[in-house]
Amino acid sequence: MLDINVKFDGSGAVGLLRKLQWTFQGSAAAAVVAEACGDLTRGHLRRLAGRRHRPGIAHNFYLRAADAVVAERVTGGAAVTIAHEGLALRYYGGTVRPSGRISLVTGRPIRALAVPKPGSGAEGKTPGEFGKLFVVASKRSGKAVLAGRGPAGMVRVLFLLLKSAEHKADKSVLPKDRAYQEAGAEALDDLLAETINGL
Amino acid sequence: MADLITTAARFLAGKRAVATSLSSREIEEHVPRALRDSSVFSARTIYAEHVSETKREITALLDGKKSPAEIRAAMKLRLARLGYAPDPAQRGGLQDLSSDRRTNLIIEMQEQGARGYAVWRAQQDEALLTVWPAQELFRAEARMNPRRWRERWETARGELGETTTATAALSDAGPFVALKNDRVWTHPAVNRFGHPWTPFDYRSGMRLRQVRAGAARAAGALKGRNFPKPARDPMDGRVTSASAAGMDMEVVRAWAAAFGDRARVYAGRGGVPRVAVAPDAAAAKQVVEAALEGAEATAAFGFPPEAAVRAIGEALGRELRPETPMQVSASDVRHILKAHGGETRAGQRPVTAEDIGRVPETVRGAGRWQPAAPARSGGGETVMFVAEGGERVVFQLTDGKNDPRLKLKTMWAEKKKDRPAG
Repeated sequence: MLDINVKFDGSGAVGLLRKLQWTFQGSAAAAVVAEACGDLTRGHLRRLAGRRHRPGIAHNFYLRAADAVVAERVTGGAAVTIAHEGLALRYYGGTVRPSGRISLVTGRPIRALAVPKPGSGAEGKTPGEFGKLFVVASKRSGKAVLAGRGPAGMVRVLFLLLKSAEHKADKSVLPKDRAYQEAGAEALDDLLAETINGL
Repeated sequence: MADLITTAARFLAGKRAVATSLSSREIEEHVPRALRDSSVFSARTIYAEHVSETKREITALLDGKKSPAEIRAAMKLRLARLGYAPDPAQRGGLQDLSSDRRTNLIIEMQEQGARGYAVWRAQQDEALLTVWPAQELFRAEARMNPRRWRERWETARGELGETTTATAALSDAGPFVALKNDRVWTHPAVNRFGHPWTPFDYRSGMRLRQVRAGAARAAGALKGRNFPKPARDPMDGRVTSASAAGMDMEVVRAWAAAFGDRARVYAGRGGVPRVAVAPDAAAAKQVVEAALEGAEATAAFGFPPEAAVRAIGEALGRELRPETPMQVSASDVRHILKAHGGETRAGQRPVTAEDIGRVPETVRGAGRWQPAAPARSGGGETVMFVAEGGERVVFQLTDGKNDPRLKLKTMWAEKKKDRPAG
């Protein structure tokens, strides 16, 4: 779950205009700022989907994230919520460790992460979706993998078994703060223009 | 289930998991839309536990707590545990319940439907419809064999004639633009599910994006200041109904039975069979929450059980139509808390918000229905449920010609020691 909060202020004539707008259109203004930020986020994630989604993986991570964007007004500003597993990890980065919960497959506590080996056909899948897999471990390096047998009986490595995995923060997952401010300001201008034109 | 965070998760949680041996075509032909829209099902999936668990897992996904891969793995393991084995000729295909294609399709469609609803609902706001009055259907994901969207769009435009604001599509890529609440979005040629939100078809790769007022005018969808008005939310506590004319009534009744007191099959005008579906008991709790926040809300919370329909009819001295829902409004909740939540009469205990939230269970529990003094409810035909637990719940029958309702008007709670024995 990723929450983005946006607050607006300004100085000079623009600041005065905005203050007046918030006074007279407060609730409507908050709603359009929220939606403008949501709309910007959706568009950004859809563009990422076009660039980053790898063919052959059933679920399009960034497109699904775009679908999960919901904007709402909150006290003093706007909030955009993206309830999408994995997005906050990409944005903030962090270390992933095994949860220790009981595995549905083995019935034992999970003690390692199964990270799909690129190009193995395991990307976007979990070990439970494969038939019989077995652990291959190196005593010397201490490294372990989950492997299976292909149709011809050939052993192929599908998952790397890791004690933890580091994810670097990727701020490009979301638009920049300035883009949010511009999107919000543009929407406020539109609201004002459409309202005044109708008077 | 823990408290749900997102609108999308609450949308899915409010649906009923239904196991069925019917095919997709049979479901479309013999299950009225009001029932389909309120159900989570998968064609030819008879494992009730599997459907119900899958719904629970996708609800968690909508709150950002699960991934599709986790759900898919759990679905496959569960089916294996239930003894499911696909027909070897269908293995790996859409008819194999445990295949990647089938499991992915179920997750994707449920996720997209709930997400689409949440976005649609958030955008039904006057200010938003002023800044972004229109929307565009566009291709967000490439497909090997894309559907003929231009043909579909133009079919809908042709049928809707002058009543639509939909602009002409110049190619297979559109543009497919119309005001947000235009009927083109729910036209069966454009959206096979009949909702104004995504998805518009199975794995279509199509999405909606908003169009600003200036661009909507330039495209010809918006004329002057004819901004769309916010639409009523079909999921906000309303009873939905649909005709079951020409359908296999055995199938309709069996499907409705899965909803218990949330669904009623009845004879509508001219004896045409119809089905009504009410929200579940959680709707009453949401109204109580809204009342505590000072907001306005009204929701139905199911129909009286069959025996209660007869008992209420006897108490009122006339027949009660079986499709009469029970309903609660925020203003009545506030009245109850004001009148009976603080100082109470001798022998009574203060009514709490939790008591009111539990009314759906209370009136389906042990007790009896009897006439209520009209003074208790401000006049009209009234009936009271006397619960063995001490609660007295008064409903007023509003008898709109085609829209009868049992509205919760007041309630109080008697202390156990003061209640007469037996």
